[in-house]
Parts: sequence; structure tokens; C-alpha cells
Amino acid sequence: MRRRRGTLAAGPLAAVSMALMALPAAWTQPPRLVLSGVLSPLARPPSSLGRGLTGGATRSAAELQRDLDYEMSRNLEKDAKIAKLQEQLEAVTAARQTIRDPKLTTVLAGVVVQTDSSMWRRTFVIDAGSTRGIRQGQPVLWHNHLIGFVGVVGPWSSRVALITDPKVVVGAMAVARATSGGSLPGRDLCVLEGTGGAMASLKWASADATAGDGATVVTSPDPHRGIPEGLLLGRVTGVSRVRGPFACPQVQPFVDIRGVDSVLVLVRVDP
Amino acid sequence: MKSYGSLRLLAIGAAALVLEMTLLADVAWAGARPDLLVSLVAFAALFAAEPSPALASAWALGLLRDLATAGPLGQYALIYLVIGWTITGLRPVLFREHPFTQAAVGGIAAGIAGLASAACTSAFTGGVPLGMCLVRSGSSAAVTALLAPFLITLLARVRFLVR
Repeated sequence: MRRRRGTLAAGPLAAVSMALMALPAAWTQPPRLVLSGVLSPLARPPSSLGRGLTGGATRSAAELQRDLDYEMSRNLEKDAKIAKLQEQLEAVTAARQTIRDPKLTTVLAGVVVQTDSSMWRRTFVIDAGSTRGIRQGQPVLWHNHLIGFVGVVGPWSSRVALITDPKVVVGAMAVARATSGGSLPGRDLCVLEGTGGAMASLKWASADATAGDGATVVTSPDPHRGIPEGLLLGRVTGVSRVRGPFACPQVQPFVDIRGVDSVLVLVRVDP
Repeated sequence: MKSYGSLRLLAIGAAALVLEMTLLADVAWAGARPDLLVSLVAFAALFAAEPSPALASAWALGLLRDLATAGPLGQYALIYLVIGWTITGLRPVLFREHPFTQAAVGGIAAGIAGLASAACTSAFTGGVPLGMCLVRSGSSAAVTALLAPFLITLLARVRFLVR
């Protein structure tokens, strides 16, 4: 029987694909992260693109007016920059209030690409890499919210897995809302796992857990991974009672990465 | 005879990927984004004069998507290659000019790509809930089925884009 022509090309390409899949991520991710950095100009506001086109002072009224408009626009730009710096300062202050360990410091990084091309992964790329002390597994914060962990590190950029990414697992505590009776709010120790969707889920919460709808989920301390206690993760938005001894609460993260343009990477400073 | 230039198709694929990850990043229906690249794979497989360029284009388009994800390199290349290979195999029984055919091919291809990539993600990183996997793959298939006829017709008619 004569073989179809297409099968000749498909075999080697499939073999190459599988060989690529077998390569360690530490080899394949850095070149991809460099390519992701190429997208950074697209992430900037369009207004900044025309900045280099203006200039050249002349004395005519029309041009003076144009210069004035330009200076006013630069003032607005500076105002926006000051507001951004203030926001970053507030973020660092909020993070420092939660992180008591003096050995932990933060590195500010900008968000370059906010999405992953796979619809099952929840990752984003930041503009800080190994040259700035970023290492795999370091927690990534926004204010006092834990939003993810550094997944893969390149020289100048890194890919961060959000807490909703299927790869992320973190120790968590669900703190129930205070009751009107004045009793202390209950705390349930469990594990937060990403699902690849908009929400994460809490695993190993016992079926008689007191933290139900509306409970706040925070991190439980994990010194080995450098995760301090009490960083905000999200809010319980529903509890599915499956068969068995464990409930399965769904957690909606507080922070939507689409509204974040800079994050803090928690770095341990060893003396 | 080649009916389109593979390099031009790749350039369009790169532009489509950038579009997906920037302007269309927030456009999602039930968590599923339209899969523009799979429509290009369908176009490559439906309109190639010979199977080999179609398979090469499908593989390269998959590799493009791999460049922008945290998953293993080669995952989408393999998935798109299998999709391209299947479509080229089915070409004798497909009426490629009909929009319904293009919608069906695009939708089914997107659904299969979604399910296969979910299986890969579950295998390599962590479990994706089955319900979410089915709903999101279905949504992606539906959205891509709506878009595919427009994209394929555009590429087939506006020849300077791909020749």
C-alpha cells in the first residue's frame, strides 16, 4: 500500500515536539522569557510612544502654544509618575507591616505581560530576573496580598505563577467572619490550590470547618518557602460539600492582575 | 504549487498571538479566549497544495504559542501538528470554501486543542477540574467556530496577506 505524503513530515515533527517537551523548563523558559520582553513596548501606554517625536523650540505663537501644551502634558505625566511612586511606596509600606522578618526584603518589579497564551495556565511576566536577585519559588506580593510565586527565572525577566495557576499550592488559613455573639472567629488550616480558572480552591478543609462563605483566606507561615503569616489570599465565595470528610471551598483572590502594573518580590537576604 | 507562503502565515500567526495576549486578553467567554492560531492551522491545512507545508505551518504555529506559555515547549506544537495532520487527511471529504465547513473545522479543532492542552497541563503541573475543562473547551470551540469562517475567508480572499 502506498504511504500518504503527509505522514512523512508528521513523524519527525512529532518527534521533535516530544523531544522539546522532554527538555527541562530551566533550559526552555529563559529564551522564551527574553522573547516575552519584546512585548513590553506594547504594554506601555500609547501616549508614551509619541514622546520622542516632539521637540525643537521656535518663537512663533503657534509653536509656543504647542510647546506649552507639551510642557503641560509633561507635568501631567510627572503627576502620574508621582502617583505611581506613591502607590508603590504604599505597597512597600503595607507589605512591611505584615512581614516582620528583618531578613526578608522586597524587590519592585513591573508587570510586562499579564497573560499566558495557554487558557489553562495563570502566569504573567515581570521585568526582574536573576540579575536582580530573583530566584525560583520566591513569593510575589501586591501590598500585603500574596498573588503568586516566581516560576521560572531568566536574566532580566521572570514568569510568575498566580495563586490560581494549577501549579501553585500554598498553606492557608480560612478565618471566619466574627459572629454577633462575640465569640472568637474560627480558623481552619488548609491548603490553597490553583485550578487554572478565576478561582482557587481550598483542600483538606474538614467538613465541619467553621469558615464558610465570606471567610477571609490568609497564608499560614512557611519559613522554608519564605512565606510569612497573614498575607491576604482571597475570600471564600462558596463551599461545595462533596462526599467524604473534606469540604471544598472556592476562593476568589482579592487582587486581579489586570489592574496591577508593579509587584513586589519577597527576597530573603542572608547575612 | 504552493497556495500560500508559510513565512507570511507565520508572521500573521505572530501578530494574532500578540493580539490575543494584549488587546483580546480581557475578551473571554466563560473563561475561554478565541483561539486565533487554531483558525490559522485550519486555514493552512485546508488550503495547502500539499500536506507537508501545512504540517510544517501547523507545527510552527504551535511552537509560537509555546513561546508565550509556562507549559512545556513543544506541547502546542504537537497538538497543532496532530490537528493539521487530521484536517489534511480529511480534506478529500471536506468542502473547504463553505463557511459552515470552516466553522465546524475551526470549532472542533479548538475544542480538541483545548481538551488536549488541559490534559497536558494536568499531567505536567496540576489538576484542572473536569467541569471547568469541558466548559472552557466548549466555549473556546464555540467562539472559534464563530470567528474561523471570517478569518479563513479573509486569508483566502485577501491574497497579498499570505502569498
